[in-house]
Parts: sequence; structure tokens; C-alpha cells
Amino acid sequence: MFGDLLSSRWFQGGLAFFVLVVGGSLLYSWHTLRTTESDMERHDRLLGQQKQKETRTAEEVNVPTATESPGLVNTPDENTDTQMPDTTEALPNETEFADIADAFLPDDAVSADALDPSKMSRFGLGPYPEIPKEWNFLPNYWETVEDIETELLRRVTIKMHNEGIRSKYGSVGIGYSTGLITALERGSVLVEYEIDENGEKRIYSTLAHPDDLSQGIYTRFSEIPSHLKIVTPDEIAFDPYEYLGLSK
Amino acid sequence: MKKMTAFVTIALLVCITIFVAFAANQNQNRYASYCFLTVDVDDVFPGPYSDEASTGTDGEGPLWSTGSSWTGYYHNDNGDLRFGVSGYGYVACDPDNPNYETEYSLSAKIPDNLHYLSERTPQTVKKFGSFSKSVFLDGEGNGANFLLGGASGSASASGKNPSNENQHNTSAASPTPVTARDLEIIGDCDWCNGEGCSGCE
Repeated sequence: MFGDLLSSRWFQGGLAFFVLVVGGSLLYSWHTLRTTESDMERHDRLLGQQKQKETRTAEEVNVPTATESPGLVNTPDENTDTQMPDTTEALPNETEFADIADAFLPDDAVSADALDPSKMSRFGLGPYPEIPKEWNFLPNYWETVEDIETELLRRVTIKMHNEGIRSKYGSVGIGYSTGLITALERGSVLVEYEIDENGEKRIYSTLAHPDDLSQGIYTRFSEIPSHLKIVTPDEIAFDPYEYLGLSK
Repeated sequence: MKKMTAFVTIALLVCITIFVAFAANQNQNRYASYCFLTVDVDDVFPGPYSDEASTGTDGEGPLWSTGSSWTGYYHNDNGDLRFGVSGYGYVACDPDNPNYETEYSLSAKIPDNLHYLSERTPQTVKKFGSFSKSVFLDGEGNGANFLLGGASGSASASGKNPSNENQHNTSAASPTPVTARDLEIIGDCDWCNGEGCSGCE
């Protein structure tokens, strides 16, 4: 029975198809990984060269070194002390399979060197703002932006930090359907409510800092602890484009 | 026959792969999943139970989620049999890093015709920092027209720390008496005949 099964062309064909699908998926995954690594290595190399040039220029004119202009991106090597060598030698983590992998890279991988997309928004919002160094974010912070809402929110929190107001908010968020920012101060509770058949306000949603409001069902304003300030979305939500001075 | 055997074998392989992938991602209600059924011998109620309350809770890292539901019969001040129902979803995040990024979704559902809404699902939101968010929906109607069940609450969230890219996920949903890991029946010991009810041993 088992021998019959193994010798069946249908079974062999099916198994081959299964292996092909799994193998193809792994190959594509490897290709994607290799492409991303290649991009990052290229950016690191370019930035290292640029920094060395700027440092040399600053030393020549005897002025303090300013490695980047205000308002520009926190680059991949900003959080490291060592600069990348100004060479085109193979990197240590390159393997003997690199040549094979490079065959899968897009044709424009080298010609795109003139541009540095890591400094510009993928969503047309312009140059990335500088990330506060004390946040110790990973260098690929901007590369992990999945959507424009996330980028807007990151920009808003950075601006709030630079203005010295971020710490007074327990949380800062953005709604995917409204596109509005909601920054909630500690000691406040954001409520959404409806008017019931008796004309009274009935709360159906709350947002607060977890230390300010314990878990539970709050349907009446009188149930909210009196020391908390009650606010509504209309009172505190704002447009991130206006706040950041960006055009839509 | 051979073709059929081969087809079934391959289909089985695919099913096992899908099951393993699904099981690996199954992380709902890891902390608790319980349901309380209250027995009431009052035969004016349509079923043997007068009240059903369910809660599922889950947590990972700084994230926490809860989904709850309740349905039950009661008599109002006029003695009329009424039916109440509610769904509740809750998600909280309390990280060390004020820039911790969380994306969450919540939902509270009840059967139709007990409120002008049958579902309340706030917009998906991304938040940085510490927060707790809840959503609630309740309704009521003529008790003779409804059976227990039908309400639900759920919450889920995923978050990551931008300083080290540590990621966390949480998901909770109110279970049913069938899916709850802990089912407790509370109430009249005569009806239970000394078995299956709390405090009747």
C-alpha cells in the first residue's frame, strides 16, 4: 500500500510541487534579506565617507564639527562611535554566496547611490527630523515606518520632545480613520459618550493612563474619580500637518 | 484509487502545515478564560440558566487585554421579564520606554435590536507611551424574546520597543460556555443534583 503510494505519479508530482513552493518561498525570502542588507551596507559606506569629508573640511577651517544640519535624519551610524572605512573592500559578513546573491539584486542598485533615501520620507513628508540622541533608538528607526500615520506620529513626538512638552503626556496617538493626533495629559481621562433616552450622557469609551484609571466599566461621569480631568476628542485632537507645518 | 490516496495525503500535509502555523500563532486568552453560568429554577426564564458572564484575559510584556460579555434575565420594577446584554473590550500598555509603539483594536458586540448599535468598534489607533483604553456596549429587551449568549467583547494589540525592537502581542476575547477553559455553574443545588454546581458538594 505504502509502496504503491510512493510510486504514484500523482503523489510524486504533488510532493515535488510542495517542495517547489516551500523552496521558492525560502529563496525569495533570502533574496529580500540580501537586498535589504545590501542597501544598508551601501548607506553606511556613503555616510561614513560623507562624515569623513565633513570632518576634514571642519578641521581645515578650524571650526567646530557639525556633522549634520538641524532637521535632518538620524542616520544609521549616528549611534556608533566608529566610522565605516573609506574603502570598497568586502565587508566581514559577506559570504562566499554573495556573488550569487548579487545576481538577484535589482539593476538600479548601484546607480541609485547618488540618492540617499534614508534621509527622505517615503511618504513625501520631506527630510526626517533628527532623533533625540538620548532616546537611544536603533539606527534603522525611519526604515521601520510602515505607514504615513506612523511617520506623522513619530515626527509629532520628536517635535513635542524638542519643545519640552512630551513628558507631560502619558500617551500620544493617531487614529487611522481620522488622521488626528490625540495627546492625553497625565491626570486626564478621555471619554466618548452618547445621549440616552433620558437625555443623560452615557460613557461608552475611556482612555487614560493605566495608573490614573483602573480597569472597569464607567458609564456615568460621576463614576470617574473626581481628581481626574474629563476631556473629549473634540477638545484635544489636532491635525498633525498643522502642528508640524507640513502641507497635505 | 491511487490518485485519491495521493490527493488525500497531500491535502493532509497541507492541513498539518496550516494547523501548525495556526497553533504557533494562537496566543489568545493566555492568562484566563472563564465562564460563569447561573442556574435559576424560575421557569419563567426561557432556559435553565438566568445569567452568563464570560471573560478572557491575555498579556505579554507591557501589553494587557481583556474581553468580557454578560447576558442575563431580570425582572424590572413592574415585574416584567427583561433581558440585559453587554460586551466590553479593554487594552492597556504600561512600558518603561515612553516611546513604546502600540497598535490596538477593540470591539464590543451585542445581538441585534437591543440597542441602536449591535457593534462598537473604535478606529484602529497607534499610540506611543502608557495608556488604557476601553469600549463598552450594552442593551436590553423583552426577556421572552431572547436566549442567553450572543454578546462578546474583544481586544488585541501589538507593540514594539524602538530602542531594541522587542515585540509583543496580546489578544483576548470573551469565551462561550463551550470554549471557556474554566466553566463554573453557580446556583440551585437541587437542580444540579449535587454535581457540577459550586458549593453543592
